Amino acid sequence: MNEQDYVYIDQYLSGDMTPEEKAAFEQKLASDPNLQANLVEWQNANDQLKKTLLPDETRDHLRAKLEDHRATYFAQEKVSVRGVRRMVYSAIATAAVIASVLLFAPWNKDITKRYPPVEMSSATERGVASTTAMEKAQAYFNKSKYAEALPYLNEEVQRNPKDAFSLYHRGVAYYQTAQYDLARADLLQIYNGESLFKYEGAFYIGLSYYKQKDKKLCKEWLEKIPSTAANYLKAQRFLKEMKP
Amino acid sequence: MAANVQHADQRYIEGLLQNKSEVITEIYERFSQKVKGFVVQNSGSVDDAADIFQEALVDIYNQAKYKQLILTCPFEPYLLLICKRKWLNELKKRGRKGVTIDIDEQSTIGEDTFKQAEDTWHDMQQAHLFKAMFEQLGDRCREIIQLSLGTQSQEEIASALGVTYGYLRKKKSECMAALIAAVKSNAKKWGI
Repeated sequence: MNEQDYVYIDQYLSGDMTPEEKAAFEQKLASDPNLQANLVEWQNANDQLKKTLLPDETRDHLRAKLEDHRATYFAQEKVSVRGVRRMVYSAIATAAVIASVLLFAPWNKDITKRYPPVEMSSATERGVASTTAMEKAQAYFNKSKYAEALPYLNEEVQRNPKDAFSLYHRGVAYYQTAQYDLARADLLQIYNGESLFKYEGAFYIGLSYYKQKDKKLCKEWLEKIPSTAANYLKAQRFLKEMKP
Repeated sequence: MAANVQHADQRYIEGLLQNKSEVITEIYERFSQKVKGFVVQNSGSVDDAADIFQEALVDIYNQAKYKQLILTCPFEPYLLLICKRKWLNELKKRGRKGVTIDIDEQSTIGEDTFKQAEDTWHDMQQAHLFKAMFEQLGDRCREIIQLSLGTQSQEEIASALGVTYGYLRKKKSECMAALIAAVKSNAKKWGI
């Protein structure tokens, strides 16, 4: 590479040439493939540098918005003392379940109880603004007090009817309080939407039919969950356990 | 049909360009979990996945704003392929290679999608390389190049830096030559 060429290229591109200089440069350019290549390279370097070095306020705002979504969509799986303790408890609980199943009538067991209850994450975890109703709903919901959580979930759904988060949890709360038709009305909307809860919606619709002793519809709904969904294995396990 | 007809999914690109919250949320709702699954299944963390997803979206924004990207293929496979490419490159940088579990793609991917995703990735990867090499230049070079990218004239820049016009021209050419050479000799290491 000839450095003087770069001086000319720069002058040429920034329009700093007299008409004579310009004509001479263009003539040289036409017959010199090396110079042509250098010109393209220089132009490309300029364009590429602009992408990252020019200040861009819209891009800064975009970055901030993307960062806001991190907590909701890329939540860390929590491994904490609490988690380990919960695992120990659940191991004890599982042992107790097995013991009771062995000791008492296994043919009466409610297999839906073997699945951990849905936990409602907080607004902070999801990176959204919190409301009093949502906080109350969450507190009751996570203590399995679904009837108490329902009025607050209703309030949230009324405030924002399109919010999949509150709609899904209201559906689960209806399910847990044996209001299966209401549960399905909410969960069907979830299943027909495109939120993260889509297939959990299908799972609980399935379970609601199971509770009403309709194994056929339960099976139909659990089979709607594709192998790519996060809850696929859970649904498959349920299908297996459900078999008479 | 011509291959370069704008796809209806261009609306995602416009959404990024105009910073539309509902579009950004929709992008996360629909596509983030696939990228998360892919990265986590291939020796990455959830944080890595979040970074890759975020960087890919900023890359697409840059490409749209500074290279007038017009999407001629569906957005989903385009975005997923860019994320995949970025993660493969990151794994290589960390000294691991190969991906055993592929990203989940519902639809078959057209040649056009592959090409457009590859072009975007390649072009943005080069832009990142330019930036990295730029940062290794001396203070004076960085100053001159940075100022030249703006709208100021050469004379204004020369007087702002307290140098003559002739010196500025000569120095700028040296700096750009050094930068272009550094980019060339590092291109392979950056996978381009």
